[in-house]
This record gives sequence, structure tokens and C-alpha cells, in this order.
Amino acid sequence: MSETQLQEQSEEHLVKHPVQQRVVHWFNAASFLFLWLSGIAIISNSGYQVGPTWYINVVNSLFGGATNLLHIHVYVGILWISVMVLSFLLDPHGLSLRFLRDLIPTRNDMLWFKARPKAEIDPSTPLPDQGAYNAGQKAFGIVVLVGVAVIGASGLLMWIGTGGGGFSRALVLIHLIAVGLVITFFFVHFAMAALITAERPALVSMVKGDIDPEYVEHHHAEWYRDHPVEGEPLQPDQRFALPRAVYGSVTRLILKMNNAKPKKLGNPYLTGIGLGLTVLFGFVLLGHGPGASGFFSRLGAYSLAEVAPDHVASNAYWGPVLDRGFWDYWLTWAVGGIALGGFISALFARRLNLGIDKGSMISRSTRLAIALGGGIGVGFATRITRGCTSHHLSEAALLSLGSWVFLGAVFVGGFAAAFMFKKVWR
Amino acid sequence: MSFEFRIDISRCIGCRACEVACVTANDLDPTASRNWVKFLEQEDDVVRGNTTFAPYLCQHCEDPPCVDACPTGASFKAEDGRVLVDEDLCIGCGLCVPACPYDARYVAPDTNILQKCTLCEGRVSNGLAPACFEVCPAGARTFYEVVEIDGEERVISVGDVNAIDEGHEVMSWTSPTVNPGPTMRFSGLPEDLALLNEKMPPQGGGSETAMFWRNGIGKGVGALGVASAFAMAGMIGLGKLRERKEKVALAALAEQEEQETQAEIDSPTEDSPTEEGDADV
Repeated sequence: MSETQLQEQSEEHLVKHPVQQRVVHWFNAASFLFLWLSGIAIISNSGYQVGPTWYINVVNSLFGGATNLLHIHVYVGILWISVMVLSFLLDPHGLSLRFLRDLIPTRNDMLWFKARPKAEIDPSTPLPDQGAYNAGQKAFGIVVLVGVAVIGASGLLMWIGTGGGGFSRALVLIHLIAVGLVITFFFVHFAMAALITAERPALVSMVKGDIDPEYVEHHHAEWYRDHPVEGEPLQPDQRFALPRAVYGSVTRLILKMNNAKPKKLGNPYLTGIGLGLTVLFGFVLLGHGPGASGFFSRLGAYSLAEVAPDHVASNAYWGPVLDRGFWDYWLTWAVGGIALGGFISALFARRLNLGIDKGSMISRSTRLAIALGGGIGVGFATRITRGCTSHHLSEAALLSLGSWVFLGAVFVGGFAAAFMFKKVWR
Repeated sequence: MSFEFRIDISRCIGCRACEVACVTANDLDPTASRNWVKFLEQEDDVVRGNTTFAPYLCQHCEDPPCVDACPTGASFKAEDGRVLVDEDLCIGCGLCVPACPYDARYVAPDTNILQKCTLCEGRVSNGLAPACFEVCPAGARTFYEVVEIDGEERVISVGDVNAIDEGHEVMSWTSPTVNPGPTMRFSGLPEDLALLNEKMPPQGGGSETAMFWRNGIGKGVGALGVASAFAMAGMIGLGKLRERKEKVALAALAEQEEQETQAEIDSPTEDSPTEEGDADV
């Protein structure tokens, strides 16, 4: 999105929730729901259970047993709390402070709570002016804020362990009560956001970030007065603000040092010779040609082994892989080097840019979806043929018949696909 | 039930070899055994040098209250009758500790995992008797279990569980109010057994936390959920009702306007803008 587009947009819409806030909101929502739904299934004892027995059974078998479920619940919980705490600490734009300030109750809020039920019966009842969040939203926000802190702290303490005394016993109870309270408020929050059409703009603002000024004027008059549509936009939509800032500062520095224009692309034939030499050096120095997919399959094996070591060890394909090590695997370092080398090369060619490469015919999400699907297909195929394109390139250098057939098929398939999908890339 | 075990408290000499054996066999912290010997003394016993020693351990109950108190299902009654703990499932909450009538459980501070007697499951399945039974020099502890090892039935025993000394009686460690069905039996002189019951009665009731959870929280959280669901339904209903009302009113207004414009085409009427009356939450 270019700067001018941003300006245009901010004339028609106010930005209520910058992208950072939206990401944190939806991460929080997704994590909380997952932890709630898995937590209910952990309490399997009939004397304590808060969920139906069939549900507990289904979830337990879905996660491959109560042990896995408990571990996943703990790991996701730790990730959740870490991200939430970090999002408050690493906050270059002061958004979390603004959020906290917006939650402070005011005199108007008390009046609002009195007038709001009357307005339900008689819509003409005047409601006191509200800030960025109305009194009901504030109440929910405060409950969530305190609830998340209590749930996170009690959960972490349970994980660390407090010796099994009265405090330990109380922790389980505190954990449960806090979840119960947040869930109760969550039901109302969900109903307001998803089911009541009059509140639709609020939901949209949490998805797209923008909010209709007319709606704001009516529902958040106090906030609207502070952020009139005319004049400066409240906050430009900062998509990928943090990575952009990092990339931007680096690239700007390089661009200042050099000319603004990116360098011309290199000669493909020279590049081909360079690649051939790399393969040759690989054989001489390592005894291998280059590869890539082996790293990803090993990464998969080791990641899975963190969660389900027995399952991976008993698998005929994964099991032997586990014995070979991850950090002392040459491809782990080669793939890291490829990323680093690519970065440096792009830096010096002044081609460093954050973006999603795609044709103009398709949307970003379509592009990403197709890439994901293609990636899964390629990943699946590499395990069947014991290597990806780069592996077969190295093998072809050894005059392997299979690899020559493979490369031939890549060219034929590539030409056919290019013919069929050329419109996508226009 | 595939095992039987009995302790004769009148035979016990209070040497505490059983505690040491337990620590060694299970590789435990030296201060934390899984079975214990309590010294029971009546007031004049000190003068007479007459102390009753009460060795005790998990009773591996038929209906174990500790299993009932475990929220995650980590404590369980195994098929062979043992009461065991799945260490992977234990969250160290300690709800089972006060639930045990015999005070036979504790949470290890270093691992945060519940510790309790397993009747040396690992030793027995390898053909050895439980360590504390095997080591007793006074013959106070007797044990009998039939296990299958490599497809063969093997009898593992220490002493004779059914050979009761003359004048000794046999009892289960229960009280009129607390009877979780202990599978261990105590034997000994009637006065020693009476002393055991007097000084170390089985404790019922469990923890307040568990009771609070079971009686209060489940219902409280449930009631809150139902209440908020009702509130939600009410709000949605009212909202829909109001939307319909507005629609009807608007339709009526439009109809009226149409009639008016038809009636007086020459003089245009002033429109009164309708305020949208949606309240925000």
C-alpha cells in the first residue's frame, strides 16, 4: 500500500485498531480459546469435570492421550503468556500504554451503566459520551487484563511447582475461577461482536482496523472529538511496522551510500556456471552436492520429537533420522548460509524489499494459498524421491539416471505449467 | 486382587530399615521415604520403656479417595490393585494429599510430582519382593503376590501373610466413618491395635479446596455461564425486536409520505429526519 493510498483512506476512515493491536487481539483470542477448550478436557475426573465426558474423551484422543494434551496445554500457555507480556514490553508505538489509558473508568462510565438498560427499552434515552471504549467494553477489557494476568501467573506457578501444599491446591482453584470469569464475560463480548448487527462496525474495526467516522461520532463521541476526521489521521495503518522499520533503516542506509536504483540482474549463464562450481566445490569439500529439503524434513522430525518423542522414534522413517542430529547436520548450516548469502547479495544489489511476489491477476491470499499447497506437494514428493530439485541437480552431476529423468520431467512439467498459468503471472 | 500384605505392629522393633530400604530401592531423597514408622507411646510407656511401633504405608485401597481427588486422572487404580501415579499427568497440585486418610502421599519439592508407595512395582515385575518387606528383620511385614514373568506364573512372597501369631488379632485400618477399603491388614496384640486406632485414626474429609471446587465452583461457573447466555439471548431478542419496530415504522412513514405527496403535489412537505436509535454497548 503506497503512502498516497494511505492518505486517501484516512480521509474516509479513522483507524481504530492499528495492525499490532489487531494481531495481539486475535492471537490472544485464538490462544485463549485453544487453552480453554484443551483445559476443560484436562480436568477429566468426574468429581471436578466442568465439561461433558464425551467432549473430554474426544479431545483427549484427538491429542493422542491425556499426557500429550497436558503438555501441549502447558506449552501453548507459556507461548501465549510470553507473547502477551512481550507485546506490552516491546511496544515502540506506545500502543499498549494507550490501550491501558483507554481502559481507565470515568464518571461518564458510571452514568452510562445507569442509562444503558433504559436505552434497551427506550432507544431515545440519551447516553453519556464515551471514549475509545464504552463502559461495557472497558469492564470487559479490565476483566480480560486482570484475568489473563491471574490465569498466566497461576498457570506458570503450577508449571514451576509450589510443593503440593495449601498454596498449590489454591492455585488450581484460582486458575479455574479466573477462567470461568473471563469466559462468562467472553460470551457477552462474543455476542456483542458477532451476533448484534448494530455493533458490526466495532467488529470490522478489529478485522480491518478502520472504523466508520459516523459510527464513532455516535458511539464514541469523546474519542471522536479528540480524533476528528478532518486534519491529521489518528494513526496510519502500519502494516508490518516493526520489520519495515528495520528493513527500511538498513535499506535507506545502503541506498544513501549508493545510487537509489537497484543494480541490473546478473548474466544467467554466468550464474549457471557459478552454480556448477558451487556443486563441484560441494563434492570436493563435503562429499555432497547441495540440498535443501533434507533440512526441512529433519526440522520436522526434531520439532515433532519435542512434542511426541515416542511416536517419532517408533516411526520407520523418522526414527533413524533422530539419531543423526540436528545442529551438527551440514544442511542446517547450509540453509542458514543460503538465507544469509541471499540477504547480503540483495543488500549489495540494492534489491532488499519486503513484499509478496505475485502476478497482478491474483490476490495476496490466493498467492500464499497456492504457494502453501505447492509447498506441501513438493515436500511430499521430495520424501518419495529422496530429495528436492537441488539434490537431483547434484545427483545429475554424478550422472544418476533417475536424476536426469527427474530434471527432464521438471523441464517438461515446467513448460506445460508455464503455458497454462502464464495469465496468473501477468 | 493379586497381592496380599500384612504388617504385625507388635512384632515391629522400630529399626526403620523399611524406610531406608524404600529410599534406596526407589532412589529417593534420604529425607523422603514412602513408608514410615511412627512411635506410639502412652503416658506411662516412657517410664516403662514400652513403645508401640506403627509401621505404615499406602493401603492400596479398594476405593481410594486420593484417586477420587485427582483432577487430571494422574492417580489411578491399576488393574492389579495397586494405587499408582502417572508422573506425566501429575501437575503437582496436591489435591490428593489431604484426601488420603493415611497421610501416605506427598509432593516431592524437587520434581513437583506426587510421591507414593507403588508396592515396588518394578521390583515385583522382575521377581523381587518389595524392598521394605524383604528387609524387615523382625518378620513384621508379610507379602504375597502372584505375578506373570515371561509367561510363567511366579509366587513372590515374604513370610506367610496368613500365619498370625498366637494372641494377635487382625484388623483393617478403618473407622466407623472412614472406610476406603484398605487392602493391607494390620495384626498385633489387641492393646497395640487399639493404640494405633486411638493415636492414628484414618482421616476423612479431604481438602477444603476440593470440596469448594466440587460444591461451589462448578455450580457457580455454570450459573454464571447460563446467566450470561440468557442475558445475551435477551439482548439479541430486544435488538431484533427494535429493528423490526423501526422497519415497520419506516414503512408506515414512507407510506404516509407517499399519500401526502399524492394529495398535495404542489406543496412539498418537509421531511423530518428519523434518528437512528441504536444504543451502543
